[in-house]
Order: sequence, then C-alpha cells, then structure tokens
Amino acid sequence: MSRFVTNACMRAVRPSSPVWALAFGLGLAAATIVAAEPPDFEKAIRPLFAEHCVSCHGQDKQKSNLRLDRKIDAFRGGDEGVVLVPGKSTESRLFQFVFGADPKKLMPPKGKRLSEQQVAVIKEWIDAGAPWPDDAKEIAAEAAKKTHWAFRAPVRPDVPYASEFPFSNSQLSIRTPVDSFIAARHGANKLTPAPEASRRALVRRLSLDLLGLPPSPDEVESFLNDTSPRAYEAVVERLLASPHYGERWGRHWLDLARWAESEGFEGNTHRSGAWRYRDYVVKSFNDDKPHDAFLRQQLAGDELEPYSDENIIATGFLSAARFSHNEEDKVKQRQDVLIDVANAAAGATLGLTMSCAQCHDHKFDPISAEDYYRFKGFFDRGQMVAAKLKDEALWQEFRASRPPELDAMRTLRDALHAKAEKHFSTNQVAKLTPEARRVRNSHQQLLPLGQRGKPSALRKEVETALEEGDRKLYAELMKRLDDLEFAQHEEQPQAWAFYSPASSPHPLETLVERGDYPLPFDPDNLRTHQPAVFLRGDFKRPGSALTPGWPRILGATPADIGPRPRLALANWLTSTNNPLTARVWVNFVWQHHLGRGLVATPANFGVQGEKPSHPELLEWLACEFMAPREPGASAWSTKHLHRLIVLSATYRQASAPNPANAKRDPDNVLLWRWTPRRLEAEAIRDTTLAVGGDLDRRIGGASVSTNELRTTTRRSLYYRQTRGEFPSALALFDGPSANEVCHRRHTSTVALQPLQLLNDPQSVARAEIFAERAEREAGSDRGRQVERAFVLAFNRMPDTNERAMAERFFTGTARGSTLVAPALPSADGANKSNPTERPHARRPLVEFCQALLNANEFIYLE
Amino acid sequence: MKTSQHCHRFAPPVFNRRDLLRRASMGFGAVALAHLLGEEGRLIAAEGQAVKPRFAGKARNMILIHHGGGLSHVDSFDPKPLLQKLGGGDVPDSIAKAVPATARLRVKNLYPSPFEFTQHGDCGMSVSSLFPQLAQCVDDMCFIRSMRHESVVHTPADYLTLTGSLLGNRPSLGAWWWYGLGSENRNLPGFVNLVHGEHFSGPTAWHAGFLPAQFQGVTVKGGDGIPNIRLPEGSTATARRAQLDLLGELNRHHLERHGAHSELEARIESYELAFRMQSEAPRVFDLAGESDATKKLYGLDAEDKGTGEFGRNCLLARRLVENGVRFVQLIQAGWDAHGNLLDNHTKQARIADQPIAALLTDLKTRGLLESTLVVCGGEFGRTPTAEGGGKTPGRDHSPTAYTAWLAGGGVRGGQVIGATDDVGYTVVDSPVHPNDLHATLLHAFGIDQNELYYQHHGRKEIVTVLEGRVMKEVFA
Repeated sequence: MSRFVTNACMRAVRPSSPVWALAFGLGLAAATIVAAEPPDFEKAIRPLFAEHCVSCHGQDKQKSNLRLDRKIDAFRGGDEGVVLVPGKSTESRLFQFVFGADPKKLMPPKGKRLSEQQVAVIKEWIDAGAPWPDDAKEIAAEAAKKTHWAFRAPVRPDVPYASEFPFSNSQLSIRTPVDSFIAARHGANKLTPAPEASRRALVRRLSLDLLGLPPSPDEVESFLNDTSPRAYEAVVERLLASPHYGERWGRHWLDLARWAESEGFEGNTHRSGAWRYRDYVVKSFNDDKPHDAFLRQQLAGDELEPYSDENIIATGFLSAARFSHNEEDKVKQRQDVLIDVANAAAGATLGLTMSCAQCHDHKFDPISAEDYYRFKGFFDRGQMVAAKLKDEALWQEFRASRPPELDAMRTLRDALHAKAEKHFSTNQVAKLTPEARRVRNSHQQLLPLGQRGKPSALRKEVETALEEGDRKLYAELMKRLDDLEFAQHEEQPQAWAFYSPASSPHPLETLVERGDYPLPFDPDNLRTHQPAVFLRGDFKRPGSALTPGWPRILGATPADIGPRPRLALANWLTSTNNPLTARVWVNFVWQHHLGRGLVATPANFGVQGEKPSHPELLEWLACEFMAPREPGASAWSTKHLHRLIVLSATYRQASAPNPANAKRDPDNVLLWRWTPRRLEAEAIRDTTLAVGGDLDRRIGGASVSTNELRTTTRRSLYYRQTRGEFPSALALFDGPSANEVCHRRHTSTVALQPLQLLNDPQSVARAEIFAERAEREAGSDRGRQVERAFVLAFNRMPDTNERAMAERFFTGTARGSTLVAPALPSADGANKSNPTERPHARRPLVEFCQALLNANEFIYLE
Repeated sequence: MKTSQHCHRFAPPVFNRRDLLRRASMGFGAVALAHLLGEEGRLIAAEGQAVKPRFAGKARNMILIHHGGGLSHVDSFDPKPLLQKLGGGDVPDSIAKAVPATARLRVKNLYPSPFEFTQHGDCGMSVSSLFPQLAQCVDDMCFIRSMRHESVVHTPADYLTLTGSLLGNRPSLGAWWWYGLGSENRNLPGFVNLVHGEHFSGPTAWHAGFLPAQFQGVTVKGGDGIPNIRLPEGSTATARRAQLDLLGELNRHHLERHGAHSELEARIESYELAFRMQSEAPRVFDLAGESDATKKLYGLDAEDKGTGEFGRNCLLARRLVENGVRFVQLIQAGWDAHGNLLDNHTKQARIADQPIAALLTDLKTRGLLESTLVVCGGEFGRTPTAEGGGKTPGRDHSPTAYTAWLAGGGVRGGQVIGATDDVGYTVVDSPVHPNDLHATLLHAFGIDQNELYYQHHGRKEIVTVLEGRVMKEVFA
C-alpha cells in the first residue's frame, strides 16, 4: 500500500518520464542489494558533489544561496527551501534536481550530466538518512560564532586595584575607576603615561568636547583662579548643565539616527515638522534622560501610554528614512522604507551589520536572513507620517499667527468654486486625475500638493467654468492663496513621525501626503499586513510569513510579544541582559571623548569587528551604566558616563610625545597620552563664530532656511538638513551624508579645505569680524592685538617665538614684501585685465586673524 | 530586484592606515603628501601597494558623459523598422509579455521614431538624424544596445548608473577612480564634475559615499574652475604668500609640541598644495589659448546653436584629461521627454551632438583617445510606446532596454554588442547591467574589479557591488 502512495506522489512530480521509472527501479534495486551498507559520504558523495556541484554551490559561489560543501549549509537548504530530507529521496529537491524531475531545473545545468548510477547513489544515500559526518572545523567555527564575546551579556568585572597590579611603571593617578583599568595595561606594557595637561588646555578640551564651543577668556581665567581642590569637577558640572551640551552630544546621536529633514532622492521634499525631533534629542541629552527611556521613545513612542506629543516626536528616529517620491511601485516604495528603518534601528543600537543578512545568511555572524526579516517585522505595520500634534497651546499659537486676510480669501474662493460647480459636468469630473479628484473631494480643496501641482487640472476646469470677470479674479486669488495655504499647511504643529495604526493605542490625525507619488497611508492594509522573508532580498519573492523577533543568537523571543511589538523590542534592547545595547552606547561615548572606541569598529561588534582594546573596562562601563554602584549615579545616565570618563586622569593627560612609548604602542591604543584630533565640521564653524563674538546662542526651533545659510550666526546644528545639499563647508570636512547610520566620521585632509577657509566670502567675513573684535578689545597697540587674538582663538597668550613670528609678519606687510609670488586670480578679476598687482586693500590684522582661524591649533581638539 | 550574484569578498580589517603609513618609513613630507593625495587610500586599496594594472588595460583617464533624464534609444542609436510599421498599434504579445507590469511601461500605442536613421562609417552603423556629427565617429565607437536594469525612476536609476546601486549610499565612479588610481597632477583634483542642464539626482552622483570626503568630485561651474580658487576681493598674491608663511610657522611650531602626527603634517602640506593649485589651476580652465579652429570644432563660435556651454565643458574635459585629471564627469541633462519628444530630443541633441563629436575628434587628433576612455549613456532609455496623445507625444522612462556607447581607451570601435526586440522594448541578446558596464570600465584600466576595494564595516566593498560581468568583447 505504501508503495502506491509513494508512486502517486512521484507521479504528481513528473508522471510521464520513463527515465524516472528507470532510476527509481535502480534505486530500489540498489537499496535492496546493499541495504545494510549505505554509500560512504566521504568516498561516494563528497567527491561527486565536489566535481559536479561545488563550483556553483560552494565557497566561491552560492547560486540560489545553496552550498553543498559544508554540512550545515547543505542541510539548511537554499532560496527555495530545504533540499535534503534524510530518508526521503523523493521529497528531497536535490534528488529531484539531479534526476531532472523538471527538465528546466535539471542539475548540473550545463556540462557533464550525472550518470544514472551517480543519481542512484545519491538517492540511496538520502534514503539511508543522508549520513554526513560532522566537519570538525565547521563545528568549531559555528561554536566560535555562538560564543563570541559580544553576544553574551556583560558581566561586571572587579576594578583592578593598584596593589594587585604591576603599577611600578605607571604614574597615572587613579581618579575614577576608569584609570585603574587603563593603568593596569600601562604597567603590563611598560608605558609611561603623559603628565596632566595644563589647566588652560584642560578647560579648552572640556569645553570643546562637551559643548563643541571654546571657553570664553573669562571662563578660562575664573578656572585658573579657582584654587579649590574641586575646581576641575566644578567646570565639568557647569558644562554638563549648559544647554549647549545637548546641542553637541545630540548632534553625535543624530549621526547615528541618519537624521535629515528631506525625503532624499529626486523629490527631496522638505519635512516640515522634522526639526522637532532634533530639538527632542537636544533636550533629552540636556535632561540626561535615561538612555533606556530615550530608546523606548524613539523606537515605540506611538505605542507608549499615556499619549504625549514628545513620544510621537521621538519616533522621528525611525521616520528619518529616505524614500523616492517618484516611485510608482507602492510595495517597493514601502519596503525600501522598512529596510532603511530596520537597518538604522539595528545599526544604532546593536552595532551589528545586520543589513548583510538582507539577501542571505550573514557570512560571519550567526544572523540568518530569517533573523533579519523577523527584526524588520517589528516595523512592518508602521508608516512614516506627518502627524498633527495635540498640544492645544501650539495650536493656539498657530491660529494666532494666521494671516488675517486668509479667511476672506478662502470665503471668496469657496464662493467661486460654488459658482463653477454648477457648470461642472459629470464628464469633466471624470476626466480629473485621481489625485485631483481626491483633493477635490477632501476638505483640502485645491491645496497645492507637489511641486508639479497635479490639482492644476481641477483648477483649469474651474477656470473654464467661470465667466470671464470671475476667471481673472480667480486666477489672481489662487496665485496668492497658494502661497498662503502652503505656508499654513507647513506651519501646522506637526511631527514627522513613525506610526502604526495597528499597534498604537492612540488615534493620530495625519496630514495629507505631498509629492507626485506619495507613500500611501492605508491603515486597513497596515493592520492586516503580514511580515515575510524576502528570498534573496527580493520583495517580489516573499517567503513564508513570520512573526517579529530579535536575532536568535541574542536570546529567544517570547512566543507572544503582546500587542505592542516595537515596545517589546525596546524593552528587550534596554534590559540588563541585552548583550549589545549598553556596550555599543558606552563605546560610542568613549570614542567621542577619546577619539577611538574601546572597540575600534563601533559599527561592528560582530565576529569580524575588532576586539576591544580594554575588554574589562568596556564590560565594567557597560554594567556600571546599566546598574551603577558608584555613589550618586543613576541607571542608564549618559552624564554619569561622561563624568567617569572626563574626570579620569586618563582623559586629563597632555598630548606630549614620548618616543619610548611610541615604539611600544604607536597608535596610542593603550592611552598613554592625549591624541589631538580634528574638530567636526560643525564644531569648526561654531568655534569660529564664538571667537568672533557674534555666535547666536538661541537653542532650538525650526531650521535656518536655505536663503539665510550664508548670513546666519546660529550653530551649524540648525542648518536645514537637506539631503545631498549640505553646505560645502560641512561636506568638505566630512559631515555625514544622513543616508545611513554613521558611527564614526572620516577625517580627510584636502587642498579644497584651505581654499574654503581662506577664500570663501563667509570665511573672509569671519576673519574680519574676529579682527574687529580683537582690535576693539585690545586697543590700537599691535602687540596687545596679537595677544588678544591669541587668547580669543587659542585661550592662551603667544609665547616668545610666536610673538616674533607675528612681528615679522606685520613688519613685512608694512614694508611691502619683496617676495615674488605668482599671480593668483582674484574675485575682482584684478590680474585678469592687468598683470600688475593692485595695492593690497585688506588690513594686515585681518590676514593675521584669518591665519589663526586656519591654524592646526584652532582646528584640532587637544 | 536583486542581481543573482553573490557576495563573497569579506575579509577581516587588516591594519590601521596611519600605522601603515608610519611603518612605510617615508619622510615627513612623503607621509603628509601620501595622506593628501589619496595615496593612503591606494595603499588600502591593495593591502600595502597601489593598485597596479594586472593586464594590458590601455585607459589612463576617463570621461563619462551622462544624458540625464533618459535619451530615447529607438530615436538615436537603435533603429527599429518594425516600430515604424506598427505605429499606433499595440506592442506584439510576444514582446509585451516580457515587459514588466509597471504603470510607466505601456504596451499600447507604439510611437514610430520621428527621426530618420542612416548608415555611417566603414562599419555602416545606423545612427539617427539627431546625431549627424557624432555619426561621423562611429568607427571609433562601440555601442551596447542591451543595457538594462530594474528602476523606472530617475534618481535611483541615476544612482545605479553613476554609483552602482539604487540607494545612493555608495561612492560615485569618479570617487572610486580617484581613490584607486590616484591623481597624476598634484595641483588639480583627480575627479572633476561639470553639470549642464537640470540634473535630477544632485551631488550624490559625484559624492564619495563611504570613501573619505577627499575623493568627492569637485564640481566646476562655467569658467570659474575650482570653487574658491580666487583670492578674496582686495587681496594679492604677495599678501597671501606672507599670510601662508606666517601660518606655516605657527603650524610647525605647534607640531613640535606634539611629535609626529600625519594629520597635522598633512594639513600643513595642504596649504602649500592649495597655493600651487591657485596659481596653476586657473590656467587649465582658461580657454584663451585654444585656437579658433578648436573653439569652432566644439561649437563655441556660434551662440545661437546652443552648444556654447556644453561645448565649453567638453573642451574643458579634454584640457583636464590632458593635464592629468583621472576622471571627468560631464552631465548633460534634460532628455526627460514625457511630452513632445520631437522638440525635446531635437533641442537636446543640438546641445550634445557637436561638442561630443568634437571631443572624440580632438582627443583622437591629439593622440589622447588611445589612453582616454569615453563612456556615454543615460540612466535609462524610453518606451517605444507613446506617452500622451495628440500631435506631440512623448515617451516614458524605460529601463528594460537602452543604449550606451564607449570609445577610446582600447575599445574596439565600429561594433555593436547586444540587441533589443523588434520594437526596442526589451533586451533579447547579451543583457548588460550597469554593474557589468562598470566592471568593463575597470577592465579598460587593467584593473580586476575585486582588486580595487575599500574596507567598510568589515566588508570588502568593490565598485561593482556584487561583481559585474566584464565584457571583454568591447576591447580590441
């Protein structure tokens, strides 16, 4: 009986193949004859795979994502599922392929076919249970992946005590526990730590590091005059309490959030409420919001209860994704966004290259494609929306600011529409584009929706229907009303948010989508949407449905994660058992203080990432961060981390060179001195503004619009963040692209940077403002001007050498230099028409001050 | 929606670049200079050595011309007699079934080309009346009529064409070239970008992606040349020299306090480099020394022809290549003919035809064509069917088949690779993906696509993302 059943199954596969019957017969025969002794894998099967299969399904190539050179991969199968079912050759696709059940899928596809005998051996081997001896190397590799340090929850180590370590060679003071860990390695590696930096250097370092702004001369003096033993601590506390601290460290977080205010791609439409997320981040840092709460709001703000506008604004982290307006394939448009969201969420919190598993199982980390799509599943039912905020005060303010003429104009427009409506024929309405019709049917009548104004079709209809006098009036009216209405629409209190009508307990009102082919917001679809694996990353090839979950290697996802999937994710990420969240954040903070992370690959904590330079310190910091034992500290406090680091003797070291140390540790991995590093693009510009004395210190609010970019003196953080159109000064100094998570910026040095800092009209203007200030504050004496310029730019007086350099410069320019310099092109075209130089019209003090603003000491944090 | 190849180029991060430079035991200046010129990048590119051609690639420099908006292939380089016959009719079923179901890719109302094709050159290549002058160069050109990819949208398609992926998060080709091959002229950037017309995808098409920002293309506008190359108003070269001398003194004094530091040293050197660039670069951008005959060749003589600005860009491209710039990108945008294809393409071709033909001719006359690879195409082609009705139909975007061409740099001219169906809608022979084309461009420089890479997040990133197929048949 059972034989008939088997036959029936096979017939369903390929009923009419005579070869099939033959092979089946052979297989049966073979099985009958040598039933007790299945083919030996190493002797009969591996060589066969090696010869015929592995060139396409092996280490170099994995067509259909299938490998037949390793047991684990062979049994895992490929894109189309399992290929080996032990004991059941007829259900094993591998057998069907080599047999040619479907001639189109015959394997191998070209070259030498398998002989009938070889096919039979494969069948026999599978039927015998496909015995494949474990590969020792492979097992070891798999085990190593699973026992990778970063995949285990951190365990708090003891702080090394001086008496227990060979500290004889290290004179590093122990100011915070951080120093114990650092000094232990100094001792073991015979490194002599640098002495403490000067107090001037320290206060400048702290201020630039914590605020992104230099200290004022008064702040420096008051620190120098403070003789209390806790003067340094007092400066740290003052800086951590400054509202500018949040601007500086919020900017670091925005790098991780790949945040910008435009859609990206060709439409690149501005996102009106997006700036509120930037302000939320700044405020969160200023408030020292616990990092776990910070992450929960950003990942699941719309799911949190009770409702708050802030929670909705926080989801701007997820909704900073890009998308193409011009994409008509709505499934693709949506999936592109979700991939972006999942990659950012994983990248910023877990520090893993999860995106590798989008098309295939991760090569080095134990993360499968299924893991990837389970992770993406947390976000699948959500959507980027412009959400109306609920704070009544905001709306009152908005209504109060409404232009008085608006109502009258709207009334007139409605009256004209009513007139025209009478003349509309059904036929005319039917001819409207779907978008125009939708707009017509909504209360948002005739709102200008995209740059190309799709509703113009409707407007033309109205114009045709009106009589001539009204037609002119209407055209004139609409021209003015368009601008007003657009501004009104943009200025409504709104957030650019991520929202799921399926999992959020809060109904949200969303604003009409803009653009030619906007991302459709369809709550019904979102509620029923089923996440699935995409085979080879292709959304057109969805595999079986799945439920949301985190990577298996990091722990089991409960069978039921409840009705709020992203909250479940955030809670897991911020549990003290999570192996990565705290380590990744602690490492990020360390990197921004000391220039190099304890893990030098901040974006990759996986098997291929660099090993931590100080593993115990990383563990200790992560544990202390989550569950502090230091007095007065609270859990998940980023400011506590700052204190542990900036109060340390490690942080206070001078940048003095030491040839003996440099031989042992040329890259200063073990932190035997301070390594000077270039300020970020924003800090370079902000510091220049501060030195000029006209920095606009207002915090927050809508971004500085594009036409003010050249005149504004607000911090660079407030530049409107339009993707692909960042101001050249920021782009030239390695500002982030905001296209993907940025854990660490490059430092590139290129000749266009001096051209920018010396010749750009804005740079020239900054030098003039700085020179005016120095002159105003120092009076007419040249020597005092030089001193003042040094104090303003470098927070110190010039030394003897520098005074001499300045003197040579000023005497030279006064005498009229005898230097022969090649003609250079000038903005006023001077040497174009006339090769002889015009008299130099710029004041030497401006040239001098500009040189200081270009000096390495100015651009580098030391 | 993905290519079918697989990535297998992972490798652990090998070393730290600063460390490597220090151990390379070069002198002070050399370290700084290496840092500046991107030689550092090249060291990374091949683990300690500059990328060296592995086989006989003839190309040394590249000029990429991008017809932004999408030049219609059936109206330019891919004649389709059946399309002319079936005007107004539907796309035959046998072809329509191969056209992906997307709103833009209409299968009704075929629109015959309003342009006439004639044969040219020894090879007898058919080129339409849009490109009468370029048609004289066909014996030097290799046409690929079987380009295709998967995006019907300008920007992703631009990104794919110019950076290798739809997402716009990778380095542009020019940035890769500069990073991988360095620059031959210390006083000029290795990658110069010139834009003519309204270009859809913005700076992403010339940015550095995950490569250091120093490799981003430098956009040059009109005759101004490099941005900020001019001294501020009221300043003089002598004053600048004095200022730089002061700055140099301050910086060297500062360096003494910190010991060896390649970044600080590189910054010092960068000011000298900028000064030399200021004195020498404008010479390259000044066309005054070009003969009247050359100017006329590029169409700079007659304002009314509309060739002035783009002609100038093409002439600059030759001068830049002549002066050792590795990669010049000429964007010539405006081909997005949704309506009135006849007018649009006539106008755009008037802008493009003469200058591009002049560039090929001029390079050849000067013996530069052998070492200069010229590649030209748009982000996609256009549908053989009409978009919009009436007397002035247009064509919609179509990535399912389009034409690109190559010349110079060892390319065998006078040949066609690949073919489209009888109405030019889909590829029927030798499909070529942009990644395949990029692999081929590298090959022209003698570079194996897997040997030029950059470590990013632990992955060996290459120009062609997941590898492309090198079309060796392109070369002589």
